[in-house]
Amino acid sequence: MQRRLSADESAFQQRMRDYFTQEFPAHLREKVTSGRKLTPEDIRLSQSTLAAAGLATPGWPTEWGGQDWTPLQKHIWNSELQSAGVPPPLPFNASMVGPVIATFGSEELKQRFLPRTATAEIWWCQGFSEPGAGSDLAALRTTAVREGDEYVVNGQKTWTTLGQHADWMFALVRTDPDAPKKQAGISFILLDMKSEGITVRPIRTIDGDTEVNEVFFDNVRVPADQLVGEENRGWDYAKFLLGNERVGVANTGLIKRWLAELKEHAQQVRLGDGSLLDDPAIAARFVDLESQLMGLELTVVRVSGGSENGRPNPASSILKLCGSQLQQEVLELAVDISGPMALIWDELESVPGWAARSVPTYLNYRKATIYGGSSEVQRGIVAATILGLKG
Amino acid sequence: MDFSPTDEQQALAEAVRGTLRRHGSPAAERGESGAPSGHDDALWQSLVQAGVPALVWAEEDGGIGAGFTDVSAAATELGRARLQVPLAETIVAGSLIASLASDAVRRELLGGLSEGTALPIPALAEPLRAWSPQPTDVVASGSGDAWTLTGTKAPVPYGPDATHLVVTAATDGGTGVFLVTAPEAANAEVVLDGTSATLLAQGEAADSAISEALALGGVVLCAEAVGAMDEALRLTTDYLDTRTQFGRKLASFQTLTHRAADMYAQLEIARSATLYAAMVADERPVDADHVLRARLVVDRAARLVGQEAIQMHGGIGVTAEHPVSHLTARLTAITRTWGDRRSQQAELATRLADHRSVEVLG
Ligand SMILES: Cc1cc2nc3c(=O)[nH]c(=O)nc-3n(C[C@H](O)[C@H](O)[C@H](O)COP(=O)(O)OP(=O)(O)OC[C@H]3O[C@@H](n4cnc5c(N)ncnc54)[C@H](O)[C@@H]3O)c2cc1C
Repeated sequence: MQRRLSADESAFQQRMRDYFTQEFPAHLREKVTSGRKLTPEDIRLSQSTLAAAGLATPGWPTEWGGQDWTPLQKHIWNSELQSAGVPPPLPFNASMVGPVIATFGSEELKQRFLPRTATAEIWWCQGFSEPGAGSDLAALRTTAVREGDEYVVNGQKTWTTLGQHADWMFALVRTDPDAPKKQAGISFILLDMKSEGITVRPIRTIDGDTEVNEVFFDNVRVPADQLVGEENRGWDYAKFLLGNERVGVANTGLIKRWLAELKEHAQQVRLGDGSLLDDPAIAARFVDLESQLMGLELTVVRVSGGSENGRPNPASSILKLCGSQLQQEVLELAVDISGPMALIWDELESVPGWAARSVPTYLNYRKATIYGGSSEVQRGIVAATILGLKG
Repeated sequence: MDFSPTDEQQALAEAVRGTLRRHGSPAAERGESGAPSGHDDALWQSLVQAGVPALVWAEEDGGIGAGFTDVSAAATELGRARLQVPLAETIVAGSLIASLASDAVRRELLGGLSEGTALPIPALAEPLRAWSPQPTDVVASGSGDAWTLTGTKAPVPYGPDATHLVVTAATDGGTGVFLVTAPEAANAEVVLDGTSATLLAQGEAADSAISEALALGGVVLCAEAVGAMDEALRLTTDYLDTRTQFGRKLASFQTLTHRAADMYAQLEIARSATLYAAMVADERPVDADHVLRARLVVDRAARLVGQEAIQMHGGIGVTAEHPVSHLTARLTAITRTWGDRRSQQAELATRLADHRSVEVLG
């Protein structure tokens, strides 16, 4: 055990902090910290800038632009990036499809996709969920039938985050409907979103945004060389990916920035002769959340969740479970701090944007305990794989 | 003590349900966001036809002379139907007018409100100030019949649609309640800049009228929340019973069904507190502390029911296309209207040592 960062680790932390706060484009950070919406161009610019600095895809193999960092260094990178308000790299690219292609893809697929995936020149979306296959992902029914050197894809995906901006989709499709186990007949393929037969329908979320979509496939022809790895092994790759998805999933850096900003907001709200931050009940909630966050961040460092040899570490489930809950508690406090100002969703001259956005943001982030494996699914994993409780 | 609704109240609820059904689709069916909907005058006028805005005002003022148990039954239907109208707002404004305005003004405004020609709206909250019934930033100056108000009230839902605003302002003699006729507001921000106003009351009379008006409005909010929670729980149990994953109904997962049972328990406790608060609101003087307690009970239930209803719907629960998120959005707003958990707890805390226990019988 050692309480302090080593000299090297401290130097690394300083290097990250300097880059994110001094070299990275300030106008992008400013947008994030003031709660304004990033355009797709902003997101691409952010990631290409990070990639040029070698900071977009540290988790990848070094030959494809990754960094040979320790888990602690990765955590420091993620924390500093989040706390500076740098738009994080697209998770679909950096923590999902990139590692899958790098680990299971052919040399040709790697050459073709990884460089442009790292820079977000290709924007990926994740085509896993379907109307009938949410928590029960293996129930998916979108089919891919081999015809010569093509697959013909039919079916529907849903909840496709930012699919409207995506250039490519990585999808799970059923290639063997007769497989003895439903997990066994699934393949992992890459589709060009401009292919004929793909229709994207945006789904409006409760906050009024369109961040998810339905994607329909009507006889979409996909060259067979866009299969990743082996046919019918897609479930293994998906499990590897979902393990990776949980890296950084506790979002401690983000929560820390939210809490810091929220304290400033609470100080802006006057109560009697002081501010809401002086109110003992509100202060107690901040104190509690800061303590919980400390416990969570220490747990991140302690278990350094992630996937080892392609197998997700079940301890990473608690990071998703507790991190998503903490995000929601902070956003609920933000609504309480907005108080009467929470009754409107549009900024007014006298009501700042942070207060007007508090309720739509709170409602939108109810998603955090639903996507990426819901809280119920995470508890199931912990109970079965860690505690050995199998019903 | 008897909690069962009268035949008239059941008939009223049924009539309101019919009116709302005929009026048509709430925001979710149009795929709109959960943002507070503006004033829908056609809907309001159909409620005027059904007598809803007139219910609690005295017959000699043009009202129906019914009570808060009646208006609560109507509010519960509004909550269930996910339709927003300024009912609680007119109760607060109307109550201040009823207790403070001159006979002529009272008859004109409560009569107009009952007929759908006047829409008095309260303008109480001040921006970047934690909720307090006492105004600080809007100040009044003047005397006798000549008063002007200066400062900003925001947000004021329905401000742009109001024919009259009932505004609180700080005066040398303590809190003042004022009436502003034909206000101009382009949005939920009411900017007063030497705006002329009529003084309704000042000092202690103003404070106690505000406390009573907020208690009465609070009862209507609680009743609306109960309707919204009823519907959120109904949708959730329906969903658990129809959605299948892993080859079985969600209802076969006890981790979900037990939480639905918790939602039900909280909802029923909130319903008891709300019905009780409605009965309390029909007494004079109103025991405002009982209403504050009911609002706290509703707050806890509303957070749990709203959050769990979305969670158990999975992805569809966060979309604007499904009603459950709209119900949660409304519950979130209700529990921050004219007071919130913090302000209600803080206010009750100041009188905690005054009683040994909270008694509801007698
Ligand atoms: C904003 C958002 C973005 C998303 N982005 C993407 C994306 O880009 N790509 C993609 O493929 N998917 C995406 N998803 C989909 C997400 O992964 C699914 O919503 C999630 O897997 C849950 O599935 P479902 O919505 O069908 O809910 P269901 O699986 O139907 O679950 C409903 C409820 O039942 C619970 N439940 C289900 N099974 C069990 C069980 N066995 N035991 C106990 N409780 C259970 C769930 O936890 C949930 O509370 C996104 C979802 C959201 C909300």
